[in-house]
Amino acid sequence: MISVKNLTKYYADNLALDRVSFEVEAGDIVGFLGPNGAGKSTTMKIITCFLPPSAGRAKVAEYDIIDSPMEVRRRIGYMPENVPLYTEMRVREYLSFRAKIKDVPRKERTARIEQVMSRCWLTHVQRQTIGTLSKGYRQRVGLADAMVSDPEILILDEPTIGLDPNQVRQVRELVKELGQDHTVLVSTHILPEVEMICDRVIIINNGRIAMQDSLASLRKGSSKHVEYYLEVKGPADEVDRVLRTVEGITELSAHPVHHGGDDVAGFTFKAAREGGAAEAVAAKMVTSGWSVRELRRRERTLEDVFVEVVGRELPVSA
Amino acid sequence: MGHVLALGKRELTAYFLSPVGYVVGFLFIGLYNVFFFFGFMRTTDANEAIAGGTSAVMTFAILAIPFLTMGLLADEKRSGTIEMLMTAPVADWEVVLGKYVGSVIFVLVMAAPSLVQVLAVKLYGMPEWGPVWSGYVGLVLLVFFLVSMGLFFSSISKSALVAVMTSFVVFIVLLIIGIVVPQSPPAIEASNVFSNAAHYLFALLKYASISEHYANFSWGMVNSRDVVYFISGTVFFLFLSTLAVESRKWK
Repeated sequence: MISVKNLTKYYADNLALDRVSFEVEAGDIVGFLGPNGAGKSTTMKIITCFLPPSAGRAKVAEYDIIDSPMEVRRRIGYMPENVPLYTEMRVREYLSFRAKIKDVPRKERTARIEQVMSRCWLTHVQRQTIGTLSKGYRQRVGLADAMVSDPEILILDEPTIGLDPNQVRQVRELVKELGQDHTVLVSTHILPEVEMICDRVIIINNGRIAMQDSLASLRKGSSKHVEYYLEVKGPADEVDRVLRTVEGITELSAHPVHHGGDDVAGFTFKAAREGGAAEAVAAKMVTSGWSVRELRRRERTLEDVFVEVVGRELPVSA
Repeated sequence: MGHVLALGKRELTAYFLSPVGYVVGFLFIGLYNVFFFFGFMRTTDANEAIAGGTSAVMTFAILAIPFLTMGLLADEKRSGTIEMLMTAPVADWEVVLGKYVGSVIFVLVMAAPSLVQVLAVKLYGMPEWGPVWSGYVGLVLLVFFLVSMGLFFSSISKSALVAVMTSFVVFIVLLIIGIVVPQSPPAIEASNVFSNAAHYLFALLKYASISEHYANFSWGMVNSRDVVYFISGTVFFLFLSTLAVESRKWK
């Protein structure tokens, strides 16, 4: 649906995007992730035909962004960062104006506006001036605007930034719902958000694609080895000695235990996902007379992946 | 065309919803009517009374238009709403033209009450209609021209404040060069390159002057030369504004 090839963008002499390539399949919800200033918004501005690329191509639904920008714009519902709106207009009036310039046929206009207003919980504020609305409501007006022409593709730049936790949840649910019949590209730097709503993730850093993968295969990790965490009630050095005798365990190391007495020891180790190493450890602990308080597999979180590919910069967790 | 109308309508309603529109609008209407009234009291000539009113409208239009056009594109850039506009399926020229049409209509609506002056004069005297209508034709053309310039300065400014000041300076310069530049250019001496150049410069400045062209209308003359000046100037500045909007793509 969206196909980006070697997109490069210079702002004056600053390289903002460096040969960015990715594909978004029809029906996918793709999370566009990266630290601030990584190039997320720039990429979105190029795909939506607001800014031209310095080099490279992008196609939206088979239309080139340079050759047929109007066709591209017709197929995209875009919500820019911070949702700029005409604050003196009323909600309904604004959506009606947007529907007109987005070529929604006159006959369908009223029905479309009613529909998006109810879907974005705006019906009860439709006669209110946008300037008097809270940030959360403005965000919803932006979403309603993106949806008003019923585009195939939605591009949302940080749709949940600045919202309270309740509104964040509502917007996430809405985006997820929209993903059922739309192709969605959503940028954010809130990692759990991506885990909640997206099928695929693209991580961008310093203007380059750092990684792209489906969320499912990300969770599994690239290697077959997974990390385990073990907490045992027993003398640390002896447990350590016993653990080293278990076959198939690597990278064993002590792990501080936060809640527990002096007699509780914590360890992390790696072992094959399949192969029974964890079961063997549990059996060994029991036969040695130590009770196992915790033994679990630590799935790779998106945060782990993000820190791996993006490096030192710490991501924001919600 | 549908886009231009929708954009124009939005711009027009925005004036009625904004304090700037109200304040400038009421000041404009109030001031030109006061000036008309004093002129009306002083003269016994019907045409002179009407011409006084029309020139008051013109004077205050020059003062009001910079305030009415300053935000047209500068505010869109500052608030970021330009991004919403330029990612909808509308062309750059449609945005420029839509804003222009909305703004021109607002100024003309503000100037329309001056027609009451004409009615008032007609009650007490017998005006000659030719100069009255030509005066209004000139006024409308002047509004076309000034709004296109104001829109252009808004399109190249990052803030409305810069736009309003630039428009003021340019309007005033265009107004006074007709007065400052001497009526007859220095005589041409074939041997003197400088006086030759000065001659053309004077002619050019005279041609650029608003008052030079506007004066003819108030005397009852609709010259094609003056009409061409205003219309071509308008088209020129609308074109430049479109280029300025497009220029975001060149950076």
